[in-house]
Amino acid sequence: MDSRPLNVLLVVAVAQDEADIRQKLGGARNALFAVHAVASLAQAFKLIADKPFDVFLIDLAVPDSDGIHGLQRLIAAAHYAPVIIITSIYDESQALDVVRAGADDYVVKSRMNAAAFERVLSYAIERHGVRRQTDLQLAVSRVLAESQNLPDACDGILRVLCESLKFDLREIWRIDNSANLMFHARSWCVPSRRHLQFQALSHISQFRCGEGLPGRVWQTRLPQWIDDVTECDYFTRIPAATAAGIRGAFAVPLGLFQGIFGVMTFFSHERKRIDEQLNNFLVSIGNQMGQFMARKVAEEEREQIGRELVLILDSTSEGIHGVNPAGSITFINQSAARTFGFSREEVVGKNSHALFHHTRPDGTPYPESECPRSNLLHTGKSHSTDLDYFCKMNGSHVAVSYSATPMFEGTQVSGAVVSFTDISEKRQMEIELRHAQKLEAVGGLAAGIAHEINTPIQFIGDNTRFLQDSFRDGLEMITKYHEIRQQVQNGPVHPDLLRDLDAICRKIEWDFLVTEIPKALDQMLDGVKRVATIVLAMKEFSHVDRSAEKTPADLNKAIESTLIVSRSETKYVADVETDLGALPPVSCYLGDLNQVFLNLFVNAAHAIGDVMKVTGKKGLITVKTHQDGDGVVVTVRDTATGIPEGVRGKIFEPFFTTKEVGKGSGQGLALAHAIVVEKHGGTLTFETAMGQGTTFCVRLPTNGAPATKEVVAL
Amino acid sequence: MTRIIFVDDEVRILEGLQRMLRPQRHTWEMAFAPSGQAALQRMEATPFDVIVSDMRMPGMDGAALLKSVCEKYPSVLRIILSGYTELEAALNAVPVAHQFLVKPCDQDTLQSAIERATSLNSILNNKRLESIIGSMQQLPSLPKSCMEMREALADPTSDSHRIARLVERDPAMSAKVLQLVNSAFFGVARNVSDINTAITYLGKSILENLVLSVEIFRVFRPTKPIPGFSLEELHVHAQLTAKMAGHVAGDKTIRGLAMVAGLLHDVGKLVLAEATPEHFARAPAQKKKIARYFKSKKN
Repeated sequence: MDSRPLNVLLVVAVAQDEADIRQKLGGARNALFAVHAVASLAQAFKLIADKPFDVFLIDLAVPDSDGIHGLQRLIAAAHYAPVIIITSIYDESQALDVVRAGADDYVVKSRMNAAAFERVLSYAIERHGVRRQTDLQLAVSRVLAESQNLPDACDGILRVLCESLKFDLREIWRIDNSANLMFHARSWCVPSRRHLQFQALSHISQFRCGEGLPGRVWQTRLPQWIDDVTECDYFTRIPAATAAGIRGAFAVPLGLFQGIFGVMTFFSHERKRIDEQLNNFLVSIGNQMGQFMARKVAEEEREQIGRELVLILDSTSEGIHGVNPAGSITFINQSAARTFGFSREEVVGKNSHALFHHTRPDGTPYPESECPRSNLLHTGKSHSTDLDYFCKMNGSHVAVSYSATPMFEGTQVSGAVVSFTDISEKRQMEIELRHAQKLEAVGGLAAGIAHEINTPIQFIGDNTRFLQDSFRDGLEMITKYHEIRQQVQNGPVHPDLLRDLDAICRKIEWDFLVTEIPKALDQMLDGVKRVATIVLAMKEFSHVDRSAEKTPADLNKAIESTLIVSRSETKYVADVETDLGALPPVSCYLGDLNQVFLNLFVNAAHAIGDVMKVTGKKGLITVKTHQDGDGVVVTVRDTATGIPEGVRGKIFEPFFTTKEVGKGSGQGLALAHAIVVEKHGGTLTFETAMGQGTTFCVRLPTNGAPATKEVVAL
Repeated sequence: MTRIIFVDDEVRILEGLQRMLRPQRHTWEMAFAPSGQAALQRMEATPFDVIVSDMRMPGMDGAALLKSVCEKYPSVLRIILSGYTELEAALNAVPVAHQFLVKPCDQDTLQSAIERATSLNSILNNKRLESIIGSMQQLPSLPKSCMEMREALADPTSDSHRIARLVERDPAMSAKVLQLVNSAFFGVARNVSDINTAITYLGKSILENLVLSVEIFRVFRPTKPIPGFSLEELHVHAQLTAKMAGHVAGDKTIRGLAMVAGLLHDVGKLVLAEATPEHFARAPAQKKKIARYFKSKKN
């Protein structure tokens, strides 16, 4: 404790009382009290404005006191020191009132002796000091709790401390660990021109660990007192401090055991000796600020992570939204909001099914109970699909592929994340691509089919022309016969006529005609049949699946038609053998299956054709069908080189082709696979042996199993 | 007797042709082969004047057969008779086929095509010339013309008029274009005799294909200069004649025909300069000699 006398301001109206109290206080040990006496509150306020006091003694009977109001005014003006009420007569209710109003004690003059005064005043001062520290601690805590960030907190703390502590200048220093330096962060001082230079120097100063007052605190992690900075060997800013009139200094670390974030320094114009109480108090505030800083840094990191997450989510082209266990939207990223046509504010908190999934594309309502995406909140099983439709704000639908994944807290589903891609453009492209593929297949066949038809037409025409000529020749002969017949009726036939007839017969080569005409007629009929067969096969091949439902069909017939249509592709490279077993009707989309068979036949022909270019030998394509349980099996075998190991896994992938540019789009097998597997619930597999050939095997259920997946309509 | 061999992998076609063309049996000697190999065997045994082949056949196809015939028997006239309408396949046969016919093809068309082709040989009446003409796949063009043509085809902004103007200046190109457009593949019903129409029918993409893949236009590159012959001069002369012929014809309907006639009237020189430059080099001297001879006769 300080050993200077405690300044007492005595406010009493009666001179006798003043003398009495002076006398009693003067009897205290070691001239403890220096007493200043006034006779009115007005005089008291004048003195308070000039110098601080350690304690006030007031008789509320002074003329301008106005009872308890005088006390309140005094406390408002000098809250830093305790106020003790002295009275002549003890009044219980008045005693309670004054203590409630903030007085530290209530004593009756006549009962006080010197020892009692000394005790009452000392205790009041101590009690008041403790209370003030508690108040300060509370204020600091409030500042820290209310501050949003570190600068705010620093400003608030400095303000609170400056209001309460008798320091003239305070600074906060921030440690930058990456630079291993300490920089000035905040400062506050009693407004005075004297402080400017020192403040300016602080602003541009930086300290290494161990350097100067802040550096020493950083290094030792302990509070430091300096009685007089001008005499301190490690204080670095002596000239500026001298100019500012600074003598005493005190610094505490801001931080906890795990490390310090900064240092708070206090300067005073007076020399300061170590004040144990203040020291402890400021150290505890340093700890509190350290805690605050640690918390704020963690919060800022968390916020930064949050901001980055939002940024990442907003930057992805996928639509992402989260729902809580009740199915309400908790988060939606920019892409999702844009796809749906809502603003984020409009959708957060609303039920996601009711907002995005309420109707199917055909316009029928989509009950939430049937929605696997909503159900996963109960089942906890993730759900994904390549095709579904979400509703937009304007009522239209958007085709999406999405995956919905539940989030767990422990074993409880705490929500779900739905991430989707708008595939409407992709689908449009798919439709166009498949259409193009179909056209390509048909177009590739057209030239071949034309050839197949033109050939019989050519020889039908040739033979017709021959018959025309032959008939003219025959007519000539028959005319001659008529002539002879008429002559026979009238008498003997002139031998010249018979000679003429013989000559005509020879000329027209009648014997030749007799043998050739029946052959020509046979070939013509055969030609007509061939054309009819091709035309019929084309009609069957180009079967349009009119209804959306599968219809029963004879696959053997379909295979035969497709073989005829693709004959121009196969006949130059391979013989075709068929072994078509009895099949039950198969419920299917026949037009699509024809495409599948065509692809398999043409692929086989192309594969064999490649071999033939080397060997010059025709290959063999074997097509077999048989019933197998409740399904049918179609196998197409070729005698080409087989599929190399490296590409076996890829042959059903779209755009994968081994054919030369222009010969295949790489869509055929991918499309065939989609048709068989996804549209018909069947399988499309293959066995291959290098150098021996490949067998493709189509397995289809007869009952028309439901499509596993909606496939783009062809 | 004109000796004709028909080749088709479909025997019924051969039998049908045989019956249909029976009335020609007194003027044509006809043979029928079911494959390219069989046809070459027959030709080895007996000489033929004309070959009529299908395009799409197993083993050796029509283009390969005609190419082989062109090399071995250049004087044989080569005709494609195909039911296969795919243009790309047909393009392979462009350099080696004299004529293209499309199935179904009636008797008159076939007959007139064969007769027209053989009539040239009977006019020439010279085995050597027949061989020279028969083995010539393309007439040569000026390097400049070829370059400009390639540029025009590569330029996406060029239209058929620009290309037509380039073709019109070059007799070789004009001849090829007219041959192509009048072949059955393009299905042009009437005879096309002016270049502009021909180019419009062919279309830029087909022409590009023809120029780049089968090189229907070839640059004239004599191994050594031929005295008395300049392709540039020939071009100038041909163009001038074409213009004058067009002017003389006057009437719009035959004007195009007249211009083409003018353009092509000296095409024989091109053939001779290309195929027998040493003979051609002697021609001017011969010409002087003949002139002197007639002069002396007059006197």
